Amino acid sequence: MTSDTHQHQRSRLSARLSYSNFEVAINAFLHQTRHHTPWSYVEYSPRRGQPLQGYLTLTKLVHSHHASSGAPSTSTGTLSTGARIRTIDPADQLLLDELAEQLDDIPDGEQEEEADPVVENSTSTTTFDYLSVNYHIVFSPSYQVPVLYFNAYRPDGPAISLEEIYESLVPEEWRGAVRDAGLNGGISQQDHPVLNTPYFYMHPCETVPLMETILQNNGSPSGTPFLENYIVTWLSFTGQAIGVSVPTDMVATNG
Amino acid sequence: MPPQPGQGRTPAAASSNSTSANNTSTTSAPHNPIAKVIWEGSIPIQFSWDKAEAAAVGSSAVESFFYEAQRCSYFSLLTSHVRKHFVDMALHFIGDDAEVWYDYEGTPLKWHYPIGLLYDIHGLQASSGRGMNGSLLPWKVTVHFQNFPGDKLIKSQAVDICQDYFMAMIKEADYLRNGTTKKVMNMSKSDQTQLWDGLSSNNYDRFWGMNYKLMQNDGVMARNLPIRIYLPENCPVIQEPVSPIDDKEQPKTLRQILNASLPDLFPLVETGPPVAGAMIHGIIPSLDTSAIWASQNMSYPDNFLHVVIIFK
Repeated sequence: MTSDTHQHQRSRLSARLSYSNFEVAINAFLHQTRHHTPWSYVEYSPRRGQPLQGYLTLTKLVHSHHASSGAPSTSTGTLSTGARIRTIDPADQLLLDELAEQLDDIPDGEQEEEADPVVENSTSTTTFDYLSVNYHIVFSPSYQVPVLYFNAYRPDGPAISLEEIYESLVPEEWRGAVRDAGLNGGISQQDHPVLNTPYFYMHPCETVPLMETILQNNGSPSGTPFLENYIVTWLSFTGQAIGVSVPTDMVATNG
Repeated sequence: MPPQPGQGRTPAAASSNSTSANNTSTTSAPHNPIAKVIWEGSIPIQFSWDKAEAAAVGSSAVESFFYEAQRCSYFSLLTSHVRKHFVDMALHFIGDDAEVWYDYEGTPLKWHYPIGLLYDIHGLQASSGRGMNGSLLPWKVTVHFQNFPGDKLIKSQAVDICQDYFMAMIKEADYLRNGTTKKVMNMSKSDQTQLWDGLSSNNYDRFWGMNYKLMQNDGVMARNLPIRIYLPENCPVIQEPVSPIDDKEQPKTLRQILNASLPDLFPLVETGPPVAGAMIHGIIPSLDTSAIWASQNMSYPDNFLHVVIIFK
């Protein structure tokens, strides 16, 4: 659509991304995080005859704050590492072992992280209560920015409620701010734009002003890899609020 | 750039009388016969209790609930009426509005879509166009009070969640038109509430008294038109920024918009009988209709033009 060429020229250095800029940004991000966090690129065909598009996904295990009956919950505050785990089902142990390898790579700088998957045997027989969380970074054609979608599931299948999302994924110090954000709180559900099933998401309308501020403060266009660092920068703000972030030594420090 | 003359007229360009009603902040809606007809469009629905659920509470023979639903409304706004009917009919049963869900021939209905849009997608598609003369009506919808399919439907279709979703769409439409959501975010709380109140109480004047300001956009041409296009079989919804004018600065037609997203179905020059049509509010308008005009006059209350692709 030719009326978009004007937009494309502007978006060479802009907080708003064209889809092709988004592709550049997520590929750069994949490269940057390849040793730290196992983000994957998922390709899809929007519809017949259209070029393929993509988005990023990540799956993590997170300790649930809805501990099963009898289990002492770690704390009612921020998720802490080293949550006490009692006994584990063998199938879960396998999953944890696989993820432990990846989780070990993350530097200690991480704050709201998932539970340290080290099992301590004890006399108590309470089940480990964790959630499997999927994060997706998907392009929004309306807002022209990345949007963070996510869902969390119990091991036996059911997806969790918004309240449980707040309690398990949103650090306590963020909860008030997230709830008060915008018209309807910072987190809502909508149909995933590709999968067309319900997903939670972080409202994107604050992303453009945020990224514009960063763009201004990061100085001159020449030599500043704004696009290559877009996702890292954006995620370091957006992701903190719901339990995913980037290792602190990776956050862009330009200018 | 001001809206184009002729087909680009906004509802506000028509005569308006702003007498204030009981509420001092309400202005009367400008007179716009198209918007009024669309607002008043309705579909008769026959709600039947899911047989298995009804039997489980010993109520197998409960009568259906017939209701004339506004096309522009949402199932969430009907739920309390629906539930009341079945609670009155059955013993030992209360139910919870947030657990209620609806299906049509086994497909859960997305409560966050306007009722008219759902009917155009499910009812008419299922009949392959047969429904144009109303042979599918009343629309036979099944009500459920348990086993909410959280993997398929957004949770809790309680009314406040519906309002949140509705306002998110209004915000997004504003963003598409203006590149910011400032207009909506700067609306006073009572103005925002007036939009939802007008819709939920089916009060045309109350709703359009506020909405026309959003639609008219201070006379500024929209950057992009808020349009969503629905293909059959649960395809992802097509929502791409669409400029209202082409590279010759002429207002685009619906044909041009559809051609950009679906060139095979909507060629710019028709070489044979058309294979597909675009249905809005149950009618198939001419593809030569100005897209800006359609956006300003035929959008749903959430400010989006929801277009369902019908195969001929």
